[in-house]
Amino acid sequence: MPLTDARALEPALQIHEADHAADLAYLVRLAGWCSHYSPWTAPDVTGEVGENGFGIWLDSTGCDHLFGGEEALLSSVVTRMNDFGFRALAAVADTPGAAWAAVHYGLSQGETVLVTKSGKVRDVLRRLPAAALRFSPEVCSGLDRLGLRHAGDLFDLPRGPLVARFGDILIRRVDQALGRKSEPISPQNPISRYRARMSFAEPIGKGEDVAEACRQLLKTLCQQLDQAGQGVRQLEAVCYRVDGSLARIAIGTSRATRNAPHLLRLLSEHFDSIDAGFGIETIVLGALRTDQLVADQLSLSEAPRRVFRRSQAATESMAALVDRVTNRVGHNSVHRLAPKSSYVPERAMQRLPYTEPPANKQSDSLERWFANRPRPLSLFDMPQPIEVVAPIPDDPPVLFRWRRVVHRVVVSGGPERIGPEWWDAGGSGRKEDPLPRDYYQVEDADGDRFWLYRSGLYQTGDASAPTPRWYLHGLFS
Amino acid sequence: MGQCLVFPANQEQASDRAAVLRTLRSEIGAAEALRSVRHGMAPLGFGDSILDSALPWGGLPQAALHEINGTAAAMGFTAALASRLASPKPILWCRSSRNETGSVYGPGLIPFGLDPEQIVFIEAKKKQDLLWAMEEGLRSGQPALVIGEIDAVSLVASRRLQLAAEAGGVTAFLLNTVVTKRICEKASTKSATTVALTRWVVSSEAKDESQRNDARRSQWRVTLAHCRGGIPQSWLVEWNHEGSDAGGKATQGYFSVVAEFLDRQSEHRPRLQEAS
Repeated sequence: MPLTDARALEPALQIHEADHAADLAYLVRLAGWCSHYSPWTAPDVTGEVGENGFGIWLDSTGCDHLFGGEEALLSSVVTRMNDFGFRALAAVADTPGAAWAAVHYGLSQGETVLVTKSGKVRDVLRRLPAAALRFSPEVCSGLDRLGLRHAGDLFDLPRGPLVARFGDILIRRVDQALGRKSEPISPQNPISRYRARMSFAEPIGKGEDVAEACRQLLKTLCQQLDQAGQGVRQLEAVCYRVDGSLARIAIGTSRATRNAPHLLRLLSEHFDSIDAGFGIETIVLGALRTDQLVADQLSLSEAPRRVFRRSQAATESMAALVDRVTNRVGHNSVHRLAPKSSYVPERAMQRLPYTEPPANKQSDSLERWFANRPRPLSLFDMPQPIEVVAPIPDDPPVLFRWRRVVHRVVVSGGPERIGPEWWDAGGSGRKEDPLPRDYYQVEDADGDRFWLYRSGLYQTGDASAPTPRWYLHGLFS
Repeated sequence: MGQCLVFPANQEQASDRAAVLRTLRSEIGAAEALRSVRHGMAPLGFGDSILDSALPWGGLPQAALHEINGTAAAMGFTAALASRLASPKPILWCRSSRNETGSVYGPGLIPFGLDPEQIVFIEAKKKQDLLWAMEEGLRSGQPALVIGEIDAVSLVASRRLQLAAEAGGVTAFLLNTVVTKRICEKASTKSATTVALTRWVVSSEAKDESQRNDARRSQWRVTLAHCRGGIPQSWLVEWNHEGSDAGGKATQGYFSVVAEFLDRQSEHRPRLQEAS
């Protein structure tokens, strides 16, 4: 009906532009929510927008028994979608193509759920119109002109002429619907191999209830992991609210673990951030990333002590402590230092995420860290510019000003020349070439000791050369 | 004459009283004893008899909170003390991610006898997070030492840290560094606002003419500003990185008190003698 006619009938009609982007975004959200039926869900955007509506793929393999069979699962989906305010139809079939055909063309008036019998795809599709095989309108009208009105007409036709006329897509769709060719559906959310799921008869909302549910789920999950010899590196808890929205919390661990109390403690830091809304009906715990973790071996002599210590329940491993700090304070908050082979002071050290310290070090720490030269205990990440009075060309400073305080140099040591690394010269994206630096250790009249450097050299006889600049790079203790 | 009569009786009474006092003292001592003493953890010695004997415990008690203030020198003092622990367990170093004295430089830790890879750094923006991380670290009992570079720790927060240190059996250092020496001197005169067992103020000291040839040597003015059951004192202290025992084998580093000229800082001398 044109808009003008509609307005003539009902003058108070409100008009809104169709917002496909928002529709799609909502579809993605709904598909996410549907993951509480099956982890393998994806929005279906191949369907024609408007007439046929959007769709959501659900790979229900191995999931239907949780809801009492395929029909019950579909009814549940349809009921819930109706509750959310959508008119929904659902069908299950052996292949995605057949399911699509069944849900779009196979349902008779008044039916909302269709379960096709396993192995009978051919029979079901035979009677449906050709458009049920997901063809574009042009292909459909072309087939119509040829008198191929039903999907079944296409099954046994010679393929060559069809491909020549309509292209590869026609045969591909037929094959996909009949299961001759696989059609992978890429899941919207990462699929965790190890997961535990719990639904509630009544929606829950209290923090304690969530904690208790997570505790029980973790127990199940850790048993699974134990059997598989895996440990959690990333864990996600997804709470499905009754209104079709999700709340996710995720934690990470610094080393693989399947210690349920520890994981629960990490999760519990985030329980406050869960907004239960109208209530949570399902919680799914999934290990997004796992690493191999072999069973802990208790040595015979150590075993009694371990048991005794466990009774004290006061000790926990360093990794567990680091996990808790990381999950609360932030991902980059915990680090350790490691040496790096570079003479440039700020590059001689790198920050690594916390891991267990290397057990057997090959060489002495003195060698590994190039620490045979005087190095300050605290180093500024950005060298601080200072004003200096120093005899040229390369004498140590006599006087320097840093942070508006003048320091008179009493003792000095150096210079130690550190040249730029040859591969760094004239690098792309840099305004200027790195300059050689002359480092000095100086002590002022108060006894405070500083590490200064002059960037660049004084060029004699070249007036155009830039004047070297001085920086303070570190403080000795 | 009267004195003669009284004296024997008095002596008997006195010995009685002394015994009672002794038992009472030991009971009170046991009740008040630090957790580390009760658990038989040896105090952390400085490797110098003058410094050790200035503290009533013969060293810094472990499983307790200590406060170290000062300039960049305080960081060196802390690192040197940490290396004296000589524990294979990791050291937790909590510091603000916006620190105006720069970041801890790995190669610079070597002269203080500390393995940089032994330290686990926790950097946070918020003070509450740092205090929380410190407390968690102390309670877990995993690290050998927890160093917290946090300024202006409240009385309540420090009390919490002290209790956590006792519960976990881990030593805690509150490190508060400032850039200039002037602020540092102001801090040493301030009254105690934390419940730390000891409070130290460490700053650099201008060297004498004779010692000026070595700009690398660490020499600090170390002031014991507050000590429970001890007398505040001040020394000129040097850190010796590589000591050697009688057999010439390298041992861990140690502190040593440097003799001072009597004309300078003369007010410190009598106390020094008293302590030793």
